[in-house]
Amino acid sequence: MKTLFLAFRMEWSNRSQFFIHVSVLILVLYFTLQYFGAYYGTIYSSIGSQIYELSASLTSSVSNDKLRQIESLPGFQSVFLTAAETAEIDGHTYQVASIVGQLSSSMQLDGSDFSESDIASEKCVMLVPYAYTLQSGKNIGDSLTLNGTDYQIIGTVGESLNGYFFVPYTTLSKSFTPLGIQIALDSNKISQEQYADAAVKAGEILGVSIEKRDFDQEFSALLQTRKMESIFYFSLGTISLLFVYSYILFQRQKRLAIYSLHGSTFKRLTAILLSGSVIIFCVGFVIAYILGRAVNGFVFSHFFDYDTFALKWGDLVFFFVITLSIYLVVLFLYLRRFRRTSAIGAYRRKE
Amino acid sequence: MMKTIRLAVKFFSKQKAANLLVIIIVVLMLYVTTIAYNQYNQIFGSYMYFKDTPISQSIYFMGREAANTENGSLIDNSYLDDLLPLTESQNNIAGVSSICAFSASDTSRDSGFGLYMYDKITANTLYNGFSLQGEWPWDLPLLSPYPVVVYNGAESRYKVGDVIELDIYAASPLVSINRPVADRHVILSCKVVGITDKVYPFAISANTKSNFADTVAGMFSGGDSEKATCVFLPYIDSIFHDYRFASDTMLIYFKDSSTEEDIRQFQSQINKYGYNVRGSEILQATKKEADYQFRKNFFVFYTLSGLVLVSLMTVSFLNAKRLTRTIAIYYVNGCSNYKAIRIYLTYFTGLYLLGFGLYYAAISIQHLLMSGSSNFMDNVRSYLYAADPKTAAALGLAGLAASILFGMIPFWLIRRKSRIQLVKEN
Repeated sequence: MKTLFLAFRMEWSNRSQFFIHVSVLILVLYFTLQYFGAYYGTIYSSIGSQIYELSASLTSSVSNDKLRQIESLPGFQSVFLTAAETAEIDGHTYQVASIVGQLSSSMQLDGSDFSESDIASEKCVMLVPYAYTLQSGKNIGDSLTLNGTDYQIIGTVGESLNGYFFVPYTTLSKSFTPLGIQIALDSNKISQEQYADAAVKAGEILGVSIEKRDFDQEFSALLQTRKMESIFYFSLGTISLLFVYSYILFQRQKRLAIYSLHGSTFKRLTAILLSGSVIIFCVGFVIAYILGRAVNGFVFSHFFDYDTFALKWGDLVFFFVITLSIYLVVLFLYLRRFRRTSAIGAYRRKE
Repeated sequence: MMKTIRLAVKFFSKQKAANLLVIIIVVLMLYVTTIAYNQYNQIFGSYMYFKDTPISQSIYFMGREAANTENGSLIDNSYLDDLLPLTESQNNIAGVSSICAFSASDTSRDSGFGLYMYDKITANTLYNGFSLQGEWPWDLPLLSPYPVVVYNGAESRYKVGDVIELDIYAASPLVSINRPVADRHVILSCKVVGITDKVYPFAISANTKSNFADTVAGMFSGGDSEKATCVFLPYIDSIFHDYRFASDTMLIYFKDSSTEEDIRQFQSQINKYGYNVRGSEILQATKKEADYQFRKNFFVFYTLSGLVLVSLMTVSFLNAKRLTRTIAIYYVNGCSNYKAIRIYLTYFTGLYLLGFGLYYAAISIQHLLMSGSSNFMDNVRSYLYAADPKTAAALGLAGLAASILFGMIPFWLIRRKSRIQLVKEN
């Protein structure tokens, strides 16, 4: 208690230094946490939002049974089936395809998707690329003849699917020859472990060997992309803190010398400085973290519609330990130097 | 002056550890500012470069998909026979781009390089605002010896006034079954009228084919590396007519007086020939992509500038404050406030310049190593560490000015205190 009281007194009697120290500490920690929080968050979201695409060539039609099994997999998003048949229209080549499951937003669907009854009755309806409607002048509601059969256009899809005409999968199985299959699993809906397992299971259903994804390895690989910049950034934050801290410690040597002349042992002086520093650092770290969460939660997500700040507990502990260790190393170096100087010398020494 | 420098050196020799920390902070601050500056340029660079060029009043014509032709490998360009006369018949069309890339060699030196041929509008668009020593070939009459502009690359091969005998290997990838074009050698006498220090030998990309607007970067495909020599020549229709297009993609430029309606009307006429998109839409898509990238990387700019500012303020303020006792002793000994500030500024500028020198040497070496590295990621991200002397000097001066500004705060704080009080306090 006495140590804490003396630490408090030391800070209180040097209020302006304390203010500079705490302000710089909080700001440096805040910007550093903000940078790494957003950076880690971007990586987490890029790994997390990935779609597992499993492609295979088909030699025969995929049975409805297998499609049902695939649909029941955790994180299932869609199956993309392509037919061997292509259509040559106005000098452009289109492939006939079908999607089972949820349409992705990148399809930019305009018009309507296939209804349950369209699928059940193997109806001759079709989604065509928007570019095709521009080229051909055909619109939603018009008919298009494929393989001698008339298909009614019920909607259009966007740029990413410019080369495809979509029909219900039951129609594709009945009237065309299935050629390829792509299974998409969405990692947003399930845990990473379930997601990786589901992909392996999907491979088993189709008789294709799938290697299980290693998310830790992917995270490390993505972390490498900004490795150099992060090192420079972290170094700038650290050295700035060191500069402030060494300045503060230097300014306090006179007070420490007075304590020493009054009989305080070196151990006691170390305890005073250590307890004061650790408390200030812990409080500063917590404030910086709260500030980071608040700025991201309120400002970034409101004005930029973008909030990726995400640090797991493990990451936070890692940053805390690393930054505190660096902080304490300076304290240690300073105390070593102080010990070598006589108390009188330290008291008299100004610069 | 000598006395000021001597006293400034005395400041420098005191507390070497603190001075070393200041130098390291200056180096790191300039480093991270360069990274942020280059990242910003990478995001908005192409949009800023092209936004006020004739691309905004153009149609980007992409032709048909190669896979749609009968044999699947050759481009059916028969539609060009209809499209080109159509462009010539329109009064509001300023021109159609001609962009070709050939390999060529200097017959007297037996050295090969890339040769790029552009029409005037495209040349002015691609080289918008670049620096040129000499004249611009597109402003000169097209007579033999033909005027060329040279980018020397890593070597200082050519200078203004040199006459080169070029052996050009002309080949057109845009051939059709109906009208095959044989490759041939063209010997051309050229005169170097200009030297450029910037290489931008882009050709229009043949891969983009869609009715949806891509970014400007998607319109062009890259050329040679920064180290290779390139020669740029105005398009000579009488010689290179058969090799005018390196692909079936082209830019159709409209006159400034053309209205939206004129462009739309023409666009509706050429829809039957192939994919096409308005240049203004491409610029909008580029801006949208740049905005998205900026939002995505905003945390980098925000945190970097925040930390640099905090470091700059801290180091300048505390460094000046650290020296106030010595300065106070100078005051007591009759030094004026003006002289004290001058000593401090000489000391700090010296310290800062030392940091700046280290920064510039380190970042130049790093850029060199990364751009020549066999590691793909290092190679890709080497642009972040590119610091041309002008940019580095501008960043350095801005940092120095801000540091001096923050360093003046302690002087301002002590201005009303008596000199004795200053010595006692410190």
